[in-house]
Amino acid sequence: MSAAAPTCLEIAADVNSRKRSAREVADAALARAEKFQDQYRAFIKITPEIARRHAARVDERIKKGEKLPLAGVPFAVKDLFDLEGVATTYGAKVFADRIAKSDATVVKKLVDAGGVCLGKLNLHECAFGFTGENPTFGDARNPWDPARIAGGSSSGSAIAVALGICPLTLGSDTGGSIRQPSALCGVTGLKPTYGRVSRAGGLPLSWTMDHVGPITRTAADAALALKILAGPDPADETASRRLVPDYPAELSARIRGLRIGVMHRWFFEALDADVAAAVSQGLEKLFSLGARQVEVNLPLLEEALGAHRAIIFPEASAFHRPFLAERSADYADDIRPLLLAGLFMPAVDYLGALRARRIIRREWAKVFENIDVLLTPTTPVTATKFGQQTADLPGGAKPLVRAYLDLTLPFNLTGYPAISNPCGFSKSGLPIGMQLVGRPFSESTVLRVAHQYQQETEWHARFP
Amino acid sequence: MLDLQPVTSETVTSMAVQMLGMPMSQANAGATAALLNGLAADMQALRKLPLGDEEPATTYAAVEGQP
Repeated sequence: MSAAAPTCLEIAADVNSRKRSAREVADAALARAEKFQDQYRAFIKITPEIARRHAARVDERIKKGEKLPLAGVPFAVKDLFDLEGVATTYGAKVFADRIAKSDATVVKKLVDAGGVCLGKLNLHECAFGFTGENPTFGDARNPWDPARIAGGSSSGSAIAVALGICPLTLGSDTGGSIRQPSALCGVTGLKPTYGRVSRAGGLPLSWTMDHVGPITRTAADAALALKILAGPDPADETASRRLVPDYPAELSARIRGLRIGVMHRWFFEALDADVAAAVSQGLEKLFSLGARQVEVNLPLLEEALGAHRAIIFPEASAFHRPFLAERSADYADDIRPLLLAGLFMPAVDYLGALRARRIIRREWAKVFENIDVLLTPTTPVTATKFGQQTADLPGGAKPLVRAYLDLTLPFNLTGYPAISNPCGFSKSGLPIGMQLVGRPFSESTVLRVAHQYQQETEWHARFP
Repeated sequence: MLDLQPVTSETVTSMAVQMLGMPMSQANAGATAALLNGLAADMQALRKLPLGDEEPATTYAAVEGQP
């Protein structure tokens, strides 16, 4: 595969100007989805009838003279978001027959904006894992090397964009599940601020740490998608009523003078050599655009990791408890112990974590007063092989759960916006991502930095 | 306080039945106990953090939809 796939902006321009019909775009995307399905398992279900129904509606609206921000743009959603009439499987046997009665808020928003839904994307079961291995629906495979993991849990969401099936997918992120697969598959993944995007109509992993966001090839497409996705929602009390900025309009402002925070402890102390080199070069590129480095020290990271554990396990288990009681054997072998363990964690630890969360939020806000974004690697290693349990890093082998999530999960606890941006490739040809983290509700800034970087580099434009 | 003792599969099996009414196989109890021990280690720093008079960060509102 080599031909570049069009972006959301390019497709919408073509369909709005009637250069191509939404139906033509949808048919091409569906053909591509089918073509790659057996090898990469990006989808749990491809929905051609729904896609063609959405496309027909878009073509009708365009004929009537409407201009739509996502006119005819094919998208697909992680299979934990509801799509009316289709099972929301959560990637699990337990939920395989759970037919959605209506669309999730985010699905409805994309369709109203002219998007065309191709189907439901593969994920690590119940969004509680980071490899994309799925015994029920097939292992999601890395587009750059099918013998390696795609990452997760939004595995199919990253694969579909990387393969050029569609330029936009939706993922969810509770510890890194948008950013980590985006890094491992070489695409752009945005976890907005907690509350920026409604969670209504999505199955939960952890109510207080789940974030919904777009995966795209470019930061410009992510800005377009976020403008559509963001905003209040009566169905989600945590959805913010703050004004939604015009993210695309703010992309082109220069980044000269922008303060980029760098913290070596925790984020840079144990990296694969190729990752370290790529992220350092990424940082240099941003300096060449006029940004400047500020050394920072985020306190309480060990406490943040513990708080993340103390919250995610009981919240997940609370949701799954009725299903665990009846159908424990139907959960995957790697998921069942996680959900069972959460049943035994003391409530005082959970509440302690929710109390610590306030302290950490306050301390980190002080650090972020002195920087505009924090830059880190998204992951310390590239995609590992299926079955691999540890990553070989300076200082010794590290369990993958620590290697793949330690750099991303702190920002789920605090709810800060963060984007994974392609910034290079390893010597063996695997993608590398760098993470840009902003202050709460500063998506415009992280998107702008990513966009400016992408104007100067072509890592995001490479195809497998 | 005493140092934590490792959680055993026997403890998990008993608690599963006595507190949750959920019988558990030996294999599940063993995997769960191992995980709980790992989680306890990860939460050590959190448990030592002085929390003062901080309240938990929750989202409850007395009127639905009106935080």
